[in-house]
Amino acid sequence: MDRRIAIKNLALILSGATLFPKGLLAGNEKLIQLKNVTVTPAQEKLLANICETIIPKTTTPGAKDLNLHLFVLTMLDDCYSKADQDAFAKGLEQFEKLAAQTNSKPFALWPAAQRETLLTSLEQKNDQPAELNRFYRIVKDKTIQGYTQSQYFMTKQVVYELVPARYLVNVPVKKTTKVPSGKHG
Amino acid sequence: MANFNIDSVKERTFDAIVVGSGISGGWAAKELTGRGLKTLLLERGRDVKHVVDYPTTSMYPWEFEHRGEMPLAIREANPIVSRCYAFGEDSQHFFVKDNEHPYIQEKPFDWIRGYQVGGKSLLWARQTQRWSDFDFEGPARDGFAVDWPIRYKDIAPWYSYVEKFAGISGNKDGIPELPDGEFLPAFPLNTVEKYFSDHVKAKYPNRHIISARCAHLSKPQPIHFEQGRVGCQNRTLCQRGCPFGGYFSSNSSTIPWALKSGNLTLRPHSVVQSIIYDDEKGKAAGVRIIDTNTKEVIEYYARVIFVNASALNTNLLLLNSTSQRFPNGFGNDSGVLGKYIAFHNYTANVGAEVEGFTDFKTEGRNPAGGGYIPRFRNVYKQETDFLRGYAAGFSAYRYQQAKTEGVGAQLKDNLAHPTLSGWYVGSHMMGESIPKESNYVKLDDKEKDAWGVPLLRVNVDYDDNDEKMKLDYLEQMEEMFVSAGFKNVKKHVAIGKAPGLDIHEMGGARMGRDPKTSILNEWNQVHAAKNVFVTDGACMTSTACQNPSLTYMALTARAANYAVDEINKGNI
Repeated sequence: MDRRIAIKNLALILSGATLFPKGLLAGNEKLIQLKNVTVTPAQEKLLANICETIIPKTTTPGAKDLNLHLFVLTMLDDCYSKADQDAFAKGLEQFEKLAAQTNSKPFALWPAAQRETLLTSLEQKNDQPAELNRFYRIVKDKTIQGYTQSQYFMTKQVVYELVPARYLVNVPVKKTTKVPSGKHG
Repeated sequence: MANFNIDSVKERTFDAIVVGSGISGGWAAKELTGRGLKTLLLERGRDVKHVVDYPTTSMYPWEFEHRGEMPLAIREANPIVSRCYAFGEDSQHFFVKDNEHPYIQEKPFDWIRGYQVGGKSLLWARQTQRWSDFDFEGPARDGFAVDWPIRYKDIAPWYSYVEKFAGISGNKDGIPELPDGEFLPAFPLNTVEKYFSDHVKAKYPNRHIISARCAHLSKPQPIHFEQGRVGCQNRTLCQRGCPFGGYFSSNSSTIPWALKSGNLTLRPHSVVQSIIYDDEKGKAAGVRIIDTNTKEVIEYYARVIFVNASALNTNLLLLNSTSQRFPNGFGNDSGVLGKYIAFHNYTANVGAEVEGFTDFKTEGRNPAGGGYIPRFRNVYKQETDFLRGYAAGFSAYRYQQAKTEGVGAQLKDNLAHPTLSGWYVGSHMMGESIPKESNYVKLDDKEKDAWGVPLLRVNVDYDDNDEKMKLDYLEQMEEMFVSAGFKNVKKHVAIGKAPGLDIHEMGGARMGRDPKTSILNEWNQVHAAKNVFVTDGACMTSTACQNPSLTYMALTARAANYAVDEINKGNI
């Protein structure tokens, strides 16, 4: 009888995934309605391309596959201050101008190397307006967070354990860590 | 209004009423029903059934819209609860939002509350240490508050009793000031925690770093399987409610147990407004509740009443229970009700870097959180310019770090190949505070809440003793870290941190020998109304520096069994 309750409880745990199917992969959701931030469809597309430059599709999924720009916008809209949201909006416009000065083609059509060069220079030099720097910082941080906390990354790259079922101490660190094939891309 | 015909009164009459279903109320319900008393358990919030009402418990990080972070609008609307370490996207539904039940802060006080079946037992940090006579004798030895009417020998068997049922992991460390209990195997100290433990043991007599004792089932016993609980799975997602019952909560343990007896009636959505005093019989007749759904006022009657509404709400209820006999609050002949509120001082921590030990790491997660440093100050004799002392948490850890510079395929590859950082150590203080008359709660004489109950005014603050103790903790911890060879030791003081965030508020209806200076006797019985018992944090005469929940559990089990004995003898 006691064990049956335990087993019943375990069954509930195992069915947890179906109980809470909400937002599985950031994957195929539509852009949610933002409450505080306004972006045009063109800006949204640009943001998607910036995110894709930060985390490009290789042999493994990239930012667009994981809809990371939507995560960036959700976090900006819900978790950042008004000051950050304003800086983001202004910085995004400044980015559009800077991109237009650099190459008259739309950012999306630039060669990957040129897109990367522009972002890297933003990251390394501090010669741009404060809003642009803040914009880039938010996009970069949240793109990385969205990527490393995506279902894809947490199941296929650095695996997150919901139920570790162990705590071990004095575990030797192997000097040369060989990651099993298939675990990373 | 209630229907006062005979049948209705009969339906509303029980052997016992328990007010509040948190960690102590759950124990009262379990003990009273276990001894055959038909018991009504009243809870002001909604029901939370074990497992089925833990909506986030099996969610992965990516299933949270904001990956665990609370949206700014919620943080700005709820500055108090947002300061609680356990308040997040996965646990917010178990916390009272600031605007849901306002109170008046005469001085800043962060009152953290969980209004649901199980109360804060779903959310607690699960640290469980026994008190010793160094604690029970503290007020008498050091001349503050009043003497505790009990000693360790009075409560020791009840510690054992609750420990076996709840399941406490720990080592038998043989430390007189932190008595050993009935332990399941401890969660181990890791490489650096063990090094520090050995170092301190060799260098500092009477200072100890032990595995933190906690209410987790490291190795469940038949009594735990019988509750429907299985072993802790090291998820450390406890604040979501544990589907394994890996840690002790009212929801996973005492309440289902009490329900199984067939003697429990659980009534959520029931705010208890006051205790009804029967002048003729010279004792409490029952309680008056407000159904929060229907707003109906209903009276319930019983031979014995246990008040376990959480420390400050218990004070509120007693203060609001006035009658001809008790014009100043229930049992308040002495005038001390609501006074001598105390808490634990959590305002300082110390961190450092550790060189070496990089050949070792940990795997999985430690629900105990690491090590525990029992109080070593002023234990055997007064040795500093402040009274009492502090315990401390201590843990060592490494974390996964990845290079985040740059963009593109290289960044992606870097993120996929994190490396282990070196070791870091951290400690935080848990200081005993001295109960004082000037630290009080009282009722506001104008403002009332949504249920017509006066708002509570809270006037609780640190004092000079807390300040001196904090400086001593910083100094001693720094010295021990430096002595152990830790580098870059950083002392941190939480400036502006109000009392309350320790979530260890205690007192107001303290136990004592003398009815002139205390509310409760040595059995947690109201001196002036023997069928009312208070066994939550409100009963505490002093605070010691141990996490208090285990002591509430033991006091409750002891008082409940005494109450049944007294009923059987016809004394109440």
